[in-house]
Amino acid sequence: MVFSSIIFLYYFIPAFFLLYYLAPARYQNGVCVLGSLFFYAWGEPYYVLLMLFSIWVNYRLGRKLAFDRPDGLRRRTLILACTFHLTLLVVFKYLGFLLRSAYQLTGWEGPEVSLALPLGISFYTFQALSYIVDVYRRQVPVQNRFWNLALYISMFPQLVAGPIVRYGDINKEIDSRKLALPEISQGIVRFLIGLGKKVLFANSLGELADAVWAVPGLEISVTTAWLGLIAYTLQIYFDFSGYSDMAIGLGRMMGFHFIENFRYPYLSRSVSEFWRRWHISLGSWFRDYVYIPLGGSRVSQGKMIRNLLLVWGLTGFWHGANWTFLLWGLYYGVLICVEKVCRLEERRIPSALRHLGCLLAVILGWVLFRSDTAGQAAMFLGRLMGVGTNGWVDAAARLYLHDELPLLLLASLGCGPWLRRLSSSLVERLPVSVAELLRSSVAFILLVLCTIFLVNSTYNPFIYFRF
Amino acid sequence: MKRVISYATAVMFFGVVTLFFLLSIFLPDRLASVAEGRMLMQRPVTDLTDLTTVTENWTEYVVDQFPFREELLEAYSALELGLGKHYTRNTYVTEGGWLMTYIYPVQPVRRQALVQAVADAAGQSDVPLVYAVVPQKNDMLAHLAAPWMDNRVSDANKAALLEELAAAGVATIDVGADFLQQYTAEEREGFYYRTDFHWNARGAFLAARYISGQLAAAGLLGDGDLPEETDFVWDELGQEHLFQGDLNRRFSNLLSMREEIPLYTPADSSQLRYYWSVDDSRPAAREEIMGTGLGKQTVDYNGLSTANLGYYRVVNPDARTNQTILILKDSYQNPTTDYWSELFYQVVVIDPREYGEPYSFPQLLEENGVDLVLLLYHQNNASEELVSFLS
Repeated sequence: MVFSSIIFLYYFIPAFFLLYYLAPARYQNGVCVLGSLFFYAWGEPYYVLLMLFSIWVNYRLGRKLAFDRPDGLRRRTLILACTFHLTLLVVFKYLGFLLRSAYQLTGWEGPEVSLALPLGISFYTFQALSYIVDVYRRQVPVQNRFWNLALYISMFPQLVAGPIVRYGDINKEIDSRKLALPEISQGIVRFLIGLGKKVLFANSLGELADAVWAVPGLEISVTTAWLGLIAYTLQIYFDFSGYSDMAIGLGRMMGFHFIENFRYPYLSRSVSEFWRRWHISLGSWFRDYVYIPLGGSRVSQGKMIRNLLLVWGLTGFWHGANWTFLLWGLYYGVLICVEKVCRLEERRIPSALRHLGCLLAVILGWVLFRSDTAGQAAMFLGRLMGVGTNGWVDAAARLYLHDELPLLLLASLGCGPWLRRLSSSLVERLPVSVAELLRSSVAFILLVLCTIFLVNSTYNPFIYFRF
Repeated sequence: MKRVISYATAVMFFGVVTLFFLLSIFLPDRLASVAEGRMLMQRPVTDLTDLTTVTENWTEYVVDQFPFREELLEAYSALELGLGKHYTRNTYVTEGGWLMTYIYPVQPVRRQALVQAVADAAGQSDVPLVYAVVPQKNDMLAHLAAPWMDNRVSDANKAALLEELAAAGVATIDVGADFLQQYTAEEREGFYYRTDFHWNARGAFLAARYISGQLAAAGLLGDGDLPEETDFVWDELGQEHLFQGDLNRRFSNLLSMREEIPLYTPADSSQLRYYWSVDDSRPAAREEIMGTGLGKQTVDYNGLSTANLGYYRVVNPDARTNQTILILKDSYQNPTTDYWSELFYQVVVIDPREYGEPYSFPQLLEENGVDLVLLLYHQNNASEELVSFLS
């Protein structure tokens, strides 16, 4: 089940929140856990047991860490916990890919391993790991109730697509939280904004991007290639940030406050800054649990470079079991190394130039991320520069420019704070109640539009196009 | 006041989602979607031994039965058309309200299988076999959707098919080449429906006439004049009837249903005898097979001529030749049957997609005494069912 679906919006939400709001405070955690497990089981009826097992192991090892005294024993428990979680992740997400790659390299024909990827395993594994490490570091108190830990890890708003929530950010709210109407209202609005980003922008932009990448042999013009890439750049932002907005909004509706995950990343003026604004929870996770323990930047330059490349390689690989993701991560690792070694952030470079340079680097990076193979990525990069293209403009480019240019322009504006600033400045001139009413009205127009688009996304005609 | 607004936000949001939730439970299930032209999922049987299928089926069910689904699909279509998009719902929308489908490249493997099956069938007996490639709308009316519709795929599909058939020794007829040569762009607009995938009776008639001319030139027809327009009764139904285009259905009929609906029928159909199957000896009424939708206020392509029936045959004792033709076809053939039945003593029409008779292709040649086999398909169709039928 995903948030941007009819079944979630019009079946899960009314059923869950009715039970949640009607339940006495002491039972709300239980309702939340059951609802989250149902949410997960709807898409993964068997892998929900895997997740519960993972939570149970984390629970037991967390309590062992809390009550053990000798540091050596605690360290062994930590290693055991990390090994367990990472093994699960590697087996289900990477094993098939690693074996296939090994066979290709060695020429050996071994058994094929193809396990279905459990939904959200990358996210809940990282949450479980952050909990166990924070308990080890004595930064957070251990959770003595299994179902409360299950609530932290399996909570449906952030389970399948983040943000990666730290236990310390919500442990107090797990124990006690207030449901206030203004908060619920703000949560609803935030959820609907996220839904709009995903359904109205990301999905539509995705159709354009997919159409361009799907052209056999990438027989496209230069303009079509750039339109496809820009569409993908915008799609991935609205998709991911929209999902984070929905998660944050749903959390608020339940009384939880999650961290922001995106802060207008396409306004960045350096790649380092980009990663302080893009998928913030992932970047901070790798920083706190991999980069800093390795020494971070407080080591020799050589070691710093090593640390950066390792962290960024892992960051890339975390996104998917494919060499293109690893290359994508290393691409950023190299860029950040260059920025740090050459101290580019400290140099006097005009802001506009910094911004354009960063934007170009990020956009080109998405080619690697989107492509299925390094070869396809290289081919696409060539198309961007006019290599092997069908000229500068073709029929597809004319069609996209006609049909999708308004969407592309609006989406580009939506990547920055300008629309928000404009609406804020308009709203400031209105009485508070009118402003709130206006905001709520816009949110409901969003709901109507999103419902239209969601129903259309299930449009499934009997296409007998051979007739 | 702010608290009231907060209440309003929460009440309206939960009110709307709960209302739809309740409507979906209490409203009766709908059987079919008009906009999608398909049956809708009904309440599934819950088999707890396969939970994955349970959730998939229930998801599909609630989506299909979502309240006001047709209206919401229509709203989306209205939005897309209102925004002036040239391409939506896999359909090109031109300024004049002409609708054209997206053309997919035919996979070489699939085309090769088709050509092989056709060539093998041609080599199986002495009965001549001809493959007529008829022009699809996109090819004939590319000027309407230029410069943002790319016709290279359609051209490539046709060129590759004709080339491979010729290389395999199969006789071919390229109707599209004749249309492009003989008729202007404006004239060709009169051969197709605006809001349907297909051509109209005028386009079909001219194609059949051209094909018969080519067959005659190849010495495959007996002596006798070929039928002309004056040998039929022509009618124009567009004044009194609405036309349900299959592409317009994708847009919930938001585009005009008024268009030219030419129709031709035999001058005297009383002598024609229709049969449902190979072994039928009792003829069926013409109205059971031809023009089944003529009595309706809103007519569609198949209702004007005939549907994609698996098998039927027409016997005309007063035909211009005493030959029997076996036509293997797709839906583009449907409006040509009356032309062929004027020319041939017996016309056997088979749509491999629906064929259910117990006779194989060679057996049919013998059972029906076939003198000529005509494959009549539009240029982008590499029919897998035809391959299965011929094999």
